[in-house]
Amino acid sequence: MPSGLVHRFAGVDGVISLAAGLPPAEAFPVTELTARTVDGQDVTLGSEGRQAYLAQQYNFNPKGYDPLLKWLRNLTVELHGVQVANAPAQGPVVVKKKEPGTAAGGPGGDTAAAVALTVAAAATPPPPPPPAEAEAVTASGAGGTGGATAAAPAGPTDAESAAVAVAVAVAATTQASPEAPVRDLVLTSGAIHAIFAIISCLTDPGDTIVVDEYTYTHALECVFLPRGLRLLPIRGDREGLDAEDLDRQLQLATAEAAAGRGACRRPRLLYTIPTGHNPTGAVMGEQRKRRILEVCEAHDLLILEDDAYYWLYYPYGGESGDNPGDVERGEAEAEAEVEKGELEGRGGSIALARGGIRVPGLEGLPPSLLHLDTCGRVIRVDTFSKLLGPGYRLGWITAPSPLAAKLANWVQASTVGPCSVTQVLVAKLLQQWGMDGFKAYVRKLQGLYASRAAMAHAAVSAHLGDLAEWQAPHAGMFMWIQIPGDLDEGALLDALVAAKVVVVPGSMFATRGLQATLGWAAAPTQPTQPQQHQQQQLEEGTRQESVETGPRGPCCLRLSFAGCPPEDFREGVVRLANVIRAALLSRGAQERG
Amino acid sequence: MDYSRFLSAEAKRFTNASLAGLVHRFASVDGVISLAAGLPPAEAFPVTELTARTVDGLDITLGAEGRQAYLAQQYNFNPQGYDPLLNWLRNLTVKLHGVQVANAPVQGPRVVKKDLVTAAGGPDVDTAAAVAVAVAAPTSAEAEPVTASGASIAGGATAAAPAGPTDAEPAAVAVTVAATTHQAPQAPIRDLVLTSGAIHAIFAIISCLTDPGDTLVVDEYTYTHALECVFLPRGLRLLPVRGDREGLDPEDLDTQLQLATAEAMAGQSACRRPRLLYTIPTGHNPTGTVMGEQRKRRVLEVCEAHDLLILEDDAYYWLYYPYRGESGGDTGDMERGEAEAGAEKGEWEGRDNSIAPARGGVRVPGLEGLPASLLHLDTRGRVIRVDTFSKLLGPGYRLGWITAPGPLVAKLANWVQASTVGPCSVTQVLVAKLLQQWGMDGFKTYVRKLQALYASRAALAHAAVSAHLGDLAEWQAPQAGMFMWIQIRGDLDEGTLLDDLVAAKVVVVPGSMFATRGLQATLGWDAAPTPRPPQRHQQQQLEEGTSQESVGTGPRGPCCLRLSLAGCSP
Repeated sequence: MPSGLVHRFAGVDGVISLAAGLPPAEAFPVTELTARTVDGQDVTLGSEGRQAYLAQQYNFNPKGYDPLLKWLRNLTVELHGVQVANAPAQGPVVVKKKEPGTAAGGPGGDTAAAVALTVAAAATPPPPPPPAEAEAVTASGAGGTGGATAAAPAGPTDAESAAVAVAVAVAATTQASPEAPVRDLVLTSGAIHAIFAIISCLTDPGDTIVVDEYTYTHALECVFLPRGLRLLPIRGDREGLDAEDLDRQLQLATAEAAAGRGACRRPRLLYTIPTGHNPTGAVMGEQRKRRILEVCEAHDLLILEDDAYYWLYYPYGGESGDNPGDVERGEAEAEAEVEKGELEGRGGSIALARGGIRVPGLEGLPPSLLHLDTCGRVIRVDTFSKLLGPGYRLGWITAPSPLAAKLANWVQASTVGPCSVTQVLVAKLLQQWGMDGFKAYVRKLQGLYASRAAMAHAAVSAHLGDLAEWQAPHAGMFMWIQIPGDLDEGALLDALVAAKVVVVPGSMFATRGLQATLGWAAAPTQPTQPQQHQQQQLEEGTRQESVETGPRGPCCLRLSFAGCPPEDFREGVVRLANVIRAALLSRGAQERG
Repeated sequence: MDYSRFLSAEAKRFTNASLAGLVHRFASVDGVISLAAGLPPAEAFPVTELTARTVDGLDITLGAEGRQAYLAQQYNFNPQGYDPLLNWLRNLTVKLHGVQVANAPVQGPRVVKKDLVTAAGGPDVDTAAAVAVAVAAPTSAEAEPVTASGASIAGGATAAAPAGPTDAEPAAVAVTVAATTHQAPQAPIRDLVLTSGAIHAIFAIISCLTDPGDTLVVDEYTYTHALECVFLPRGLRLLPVRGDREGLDPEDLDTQLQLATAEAMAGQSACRRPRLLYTIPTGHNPTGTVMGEQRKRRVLEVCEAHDLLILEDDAYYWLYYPYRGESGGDTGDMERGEAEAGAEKGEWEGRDNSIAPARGGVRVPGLEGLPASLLHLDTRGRVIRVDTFSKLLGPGYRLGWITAPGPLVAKLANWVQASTVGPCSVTQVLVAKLLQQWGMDGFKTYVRKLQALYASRAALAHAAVSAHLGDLAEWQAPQAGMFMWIQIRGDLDEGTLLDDLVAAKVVVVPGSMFATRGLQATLGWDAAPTPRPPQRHQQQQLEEGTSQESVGTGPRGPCCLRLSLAGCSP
């Protein structure tokens, strides 16, 4: 309400407002809030700019705290090359660096042996005022791929305009069409809040949502199913969602709806996780993304791009599974990597990943679905949870403007917007870092995860090489281990309890047959048959209605290498290997007996 | 009580998170290595230390000790909230509301509240000229059971809170009592869920307890944000109940519920009988009313009779200042109020390093004199209470909490976890540390200061209105919260008045913005049978066994305005 009312009086000077129910500044307990960063800077919210006050007050812009919103709008223009409403930079569309690896084998590594960006940038560059009009984003074709080091000048840098100078390395592959819609951003209390908002605004109970065959449990259990959605699972491969299976399933669903057999409307929304997929770790290649966009265009679907692990991209060169030669190299690299100690310390200067850990930085992040989307079908979710920390409870949605307004309404209804304390603090932190500091931070973060991933891959190769199949992690926090041999997951879990190692069973992420297990009626939208049968059904114009308690493929496990120290990870994998080995032996004995 | 009949379809579909269940399965096993959780490692976090300096000069620091900087930046996976904060609030709930709380550190004999609020004329005032609470003693790790003595603390001496950290868990709050109530032995055990503020709590409750098309019982004027952003988007029908100087009128509530029940039985109503009442007992938004204890008891009786749950939104509970001024043109009293308030102001707005409780004639009740809540009076488990730090510490912390019967807590916690994975960890950990460092004494002092601030603003506002609107309007002297509700005499057109206000450069909120009567009609709804013609016709309709279907574009009474006394300088 008062927003409309306040707006009515907005143009009038000297207005006295007796309208808002805002506590006065004198009622707040905190006068100054200071965060000390790992690189030794003090980020202080005090009386200057009334920042301590703003941190404790309502923020009434339903899209978020303006300085943070502007910073992110600018970043969005830089990273995704889309037009953003009210963005300081509205330059020519950025075209992204060609994806490092396009084939199904997964992204290739940055070829530079050691991208050693040494950013000296020491303490406390003063927060520059945001430029009123930022420069046009450069879209030069010059490669950032050569591993050249851009040493940021020590001392104060102009943060915002440095942002503009993100040398987005480009090998022009795409351009958003001129008629591509203008996007806008909405800040949320993290990614799940964003997903909840999008699901609330774009689905009704009984609708069908298209999902990966394995997907993020929290969204599944806490949002999609309580909303009363039906799930249409799509199979995946090493690059995540299979665009051809997507097409097929949507054709089936459309045929069903047309024949009046589907109980509900045709699917209108796809939920997927393109980078470091949870749980499978897959990274979607650019061609795959393009094909998915085509299919969604053909079937008139919107896409919820949940890119929580976008920042944690480290296109490591290791090949998947049983390639111990490669893996040994990985392990050696990881252990030789002197970065780790430095990363975990509290150095006063920002030192970037070096010594063989190859990280893409901001410049080498994969082109997003948002970037490739020329029609306004993508609603993208980002989060600070894996970038700064989950405890800040900050994320953001990038959506076509007409949807952004609705989503902002929803967010304001649900929480009056995210935490002001952390919005103001993070805005100040980013301003103080400047774009150089932010880039350095992202590279450090990628270095940390890359080193953990390399060690995890080495440990799994050493101990599970003959027992399981997996893909070397390229992004995110997870490895997805497939155990051949038709093991019983329940029995395996019991044995893991006894062996004192916790991993997450794949079934916990499975969307196939999930509604049945939750007491739903067998829904006609369920794809129930393996791939080869579906084409046949499609041709016959019919589908079998049997529901899915059938085989789910091999026993899968999700291993997180993020939160646990590398030594513990190794020990955990040893225990896991022992349990699997024992289970396989016992299974073999049963079969013989 | 079996709450399943109150649950929404959505709430019934909620299950406990399976990943959390997995973690729980392994939690009791020593030496377990977990490769399960998708948590960023501590090394990935940018901040090593976070320090808040308070108005009273304390430094609240989250650092390496107790891994608090880490916890502030990490997920908090207890779906009810960050344990230290949750426990502090559980303890406070036992003390303030005298109900049994699951897992509360203190489970002593229940507190019985001092009955400050009495007749329909509004809350009575604390007779002590300057209530200066004698805050007893520093704290002990194990708090004593709350005493339920009849002794008064009025007139006591001032105890300056000891500088420096005191033991965190609050000692027994010496809540004074004049025993009026006891919880029935079969009263349900409550528990708490932390949320991202009151509106998040309300959204959670509405999502878990209503389905689209259901009817929600509301005050005839109510909190716009809940109305516009939660109730109406949810697709709820509204059943408005009239109010008076003490807020919601229980007799009209009874009448309306009888009508609704009769309609439902006769098959005339399209939807289920009402199952939930939303009301704001202290410093009502927008009317500023404070519900007296007898009123609350009667509301509870009526809800018991009609099998309703009650959403008690008590956002302004802490801002209670039972100021003596009478309503409207009683300027004699007002002048004194103005003088008093003036003396107080200087001290408030400075940044004194010592905590000084209210003095100089501004009478504040402190924690001890807060009104008896619906939660406190509820012996059946019908009340779901919403509290918030927004008016207590600041809205920017985005922290509030729900107090509900145990069986509902699990569902509400599911919903909160689903929507945001819980409130902001940074502020949960920070506020927990702040409260621990203050100790109960510091907290009590802070609340008194806060009450004095609002009391002084309210006195000035009342004086200003008396001086300039005395002959033009009617109002009630504010006793709690942030708002004055002004009824303009004469049949003015609200739209014209607003236009004139734009020209005169003053913004107030027109009463129609809070009106629930006829709202669905104006929002393009089907004419619902639920909004009622005025009271006097209703009894007659009830007797006739029928109700007129005319909808709510009729007269809404006098033109009303809400004036906020909080956010603008006196």
